[in-house]
Amino acid sequence: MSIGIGLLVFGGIVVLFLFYLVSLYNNLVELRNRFKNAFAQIDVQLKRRYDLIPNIVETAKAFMSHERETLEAVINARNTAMSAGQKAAANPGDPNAMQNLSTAEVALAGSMTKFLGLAEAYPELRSNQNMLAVQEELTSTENKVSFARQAFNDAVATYNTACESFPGNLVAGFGRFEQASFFEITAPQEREVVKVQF
Amino acid sequence: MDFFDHQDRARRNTVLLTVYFMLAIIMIIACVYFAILGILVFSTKDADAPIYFNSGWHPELLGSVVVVVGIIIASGSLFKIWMLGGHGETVAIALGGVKVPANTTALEERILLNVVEEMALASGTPVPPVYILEDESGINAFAAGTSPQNAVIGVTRGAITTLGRDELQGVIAHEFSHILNGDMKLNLRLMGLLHGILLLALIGYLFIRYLSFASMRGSSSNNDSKGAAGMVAALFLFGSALIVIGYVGVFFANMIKSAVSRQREYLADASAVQFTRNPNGISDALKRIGGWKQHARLTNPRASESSHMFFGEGVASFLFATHPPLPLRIKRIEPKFKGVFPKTEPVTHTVSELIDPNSLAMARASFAGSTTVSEATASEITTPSAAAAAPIAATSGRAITGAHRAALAGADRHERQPEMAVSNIGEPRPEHLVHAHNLVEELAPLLAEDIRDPLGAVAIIYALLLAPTSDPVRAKQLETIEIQADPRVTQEFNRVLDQVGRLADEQRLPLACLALPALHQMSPNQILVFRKTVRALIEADRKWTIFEFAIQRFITKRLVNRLDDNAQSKDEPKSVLSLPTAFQVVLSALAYVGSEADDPANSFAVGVKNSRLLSKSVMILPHQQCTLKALDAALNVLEKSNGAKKRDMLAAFSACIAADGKVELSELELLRVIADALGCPMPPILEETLASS
Repeated sequence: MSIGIGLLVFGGIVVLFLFYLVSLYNNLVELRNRFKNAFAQIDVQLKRRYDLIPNIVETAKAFMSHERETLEAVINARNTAMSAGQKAAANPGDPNAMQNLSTAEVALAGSMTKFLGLAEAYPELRSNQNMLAVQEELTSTENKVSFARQAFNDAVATYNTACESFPGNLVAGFGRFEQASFFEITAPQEREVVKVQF
Repeated sequence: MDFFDHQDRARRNTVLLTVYFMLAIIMIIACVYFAILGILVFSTKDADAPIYFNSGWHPELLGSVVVVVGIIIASGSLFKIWMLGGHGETVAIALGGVKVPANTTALEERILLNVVEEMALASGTPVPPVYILEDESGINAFAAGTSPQNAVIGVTRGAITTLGRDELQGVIAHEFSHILNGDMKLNLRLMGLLHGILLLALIGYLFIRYLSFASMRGSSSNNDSKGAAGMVAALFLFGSALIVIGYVGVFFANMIKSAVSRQREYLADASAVQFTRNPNGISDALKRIGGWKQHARLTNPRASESSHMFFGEGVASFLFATHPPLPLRIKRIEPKFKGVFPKTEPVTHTVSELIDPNSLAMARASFAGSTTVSEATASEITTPSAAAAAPIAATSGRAITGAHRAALAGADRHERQPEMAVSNIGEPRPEHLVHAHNLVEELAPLLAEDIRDPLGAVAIIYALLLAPTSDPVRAKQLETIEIQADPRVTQEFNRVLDQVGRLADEQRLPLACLALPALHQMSPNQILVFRKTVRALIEADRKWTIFEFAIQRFITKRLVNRLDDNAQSKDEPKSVLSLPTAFQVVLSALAYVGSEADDPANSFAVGVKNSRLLSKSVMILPHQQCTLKALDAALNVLEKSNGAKKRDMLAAFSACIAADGKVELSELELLRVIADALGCPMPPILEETLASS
């Protein structure tokens, strides 16, 4: 009977170990969900921003009719960023999608800076109420994107750590949990002070 | 039966549930024993087997069956209970739920969130996170969690596409009834326990699948084919036997579920009608389920273990349904129902559904004469200041304005009844729903949008905690924000500052409560920074107000709790107070807050008289001992007591408040914070009840 008991204990240990593995797996699933939800946050604000930009361009067009290339550049950059955003929303954390979005966002920020810089040179535009209101909303939305981005990157960092470290990495391989990519905006233009050049 | 009775009844039902569960295990063990016995007798009947099993009594076999089956079921149940961990989120995610961001722009999601927000505000519970089961086209919804403080609501995609606002409100009200009646905890327990029983069926199923897979592979090359085939056949038989036994388990599991959950569905339907005063909402929702091609069916295989938690019958079950039949449910609400379900078509949502037309109409009708009341009360709130390391002061730090004096002149019109507030616990009324709706409506559009975004919510909370312009502390607080908060937050803060400053007093706390879902979306690091800054802002003036205490309990505490179950205990001092002592602390604090220049000892004595838990000789504690830290620690202790004790304590508290003949709004707000700390959601205090009473 002692063999029976030994077998039972062994079986018990096996069972406990299996449960442990399952809990590790579930933990990874939960962390993955968390960063995906965190991206949904960013997405809401990005969409808002993409909607605001045509608005501000329209307002500016009336005053800046000669600056067609700049305005068009903004709209194009916005469209590119928008489609990159949609792809990223479908697959948050995917390295390609995040890289594309990053690049598109940097380009958009660059063209916006140029556009706003030019707008400074038109005093009627600068004091236009609608322009001011939309600019304020744009700044607010960008702040919100940035805040949400920080939360997303935190969530990605937690997930990646869980995937890499022992014992999570045992399960990560089996469950096909891949490392997620951060959403970085590396260009310094993001918060650059507008320089007016004559 | 009131809220406290429901809580206690839910506890008793848990005991009953465990008894049923034990009985089920015994029956399953018996089935397994006889099944194995039968197989062994059968397979060794011919004489060429080495061992001959007679069909007699085999205690060793029984012993091993008991041990093995017992271990499987016990480990399955314990494991599941541990994994569920009292979080509704695990259930939502397992069912494929996607969290709806608080600042969503999709119209139908926004409507859903508005409905949930109103219900939460009206019932005094924190706004729960909402999940959408995207892959489900049936019409269904659920609420999961262990208490109103950590509830989660889930709704199927089918429900959002087919139900109009009223119907959605009916469904959500039904789920909130489950939350308030204490059903959720029981449901989660049930799910955990039953997992053990269902595990056998799962194991048998996996066994068969593996075997069929292995035997297909092995059949090509077989030396000892006859022996191998014989073994495979025996194992196959064993696997099928496991499945059959497992389904015996499923049978008993469904029986238990059915016994526990069916009646409560009627109760939840009735409570929902009471809550919204709109029987049509919920009966229409039920009719739509009847007329929809997928009804309330859920396709996710994990749904069967949580089928009892849903609004409608999500998983077809033989013999033991978890929900009463649709026509019966409708007839209970609408006796004239003929049993005919018109075909349900998807609806297109319109922007007008963002607001509740019923509420708006009711509001316009009943509030026509009382605009003067709300204006007067705006400046009436006296918020006593208290020091964190010093006792709670009874007098206000603010000068009494002319409006305040005018309001006090009509004091008898403003006689509030704390007992009424306590009797509303867990049983919100339609007036509360209307009130909640108006509160949200009145918030400036800017704030209404920002409160639902994490950054905006942080900025608004900081703005709410600012002292008034006349107060020198304000400068210090502004400086703190400049230093501690990051520049994005500071920018947002400056943006919302004005509008927050213009809010009426009774809008401030509800606004803060609306912030919770958005705040939960912050990452742990961001939450810790937030908590640090909030603390700095509160402690800037070295005094605590009830508002600040409320913010601390309603918001920061909840954020940190959800963050990490360990973080809470690290932060709070271990409380070694006994129940009577904790009770004494809270009652004393309340007596000091409410009494102004009058006799706190008298109020305290009145409170003691109204309670059965304190002996008559207990005295009020000295003023110095009633610090907010002590109050906090005492509340943590009181939270763990049962429903009957809590009812008793709240009765004592309200008697204490009413003892001096004057009831200030601040006392009632403190009562509300206390009730919330005890896990008893108290609906907001209505000004209208004063005018009519």
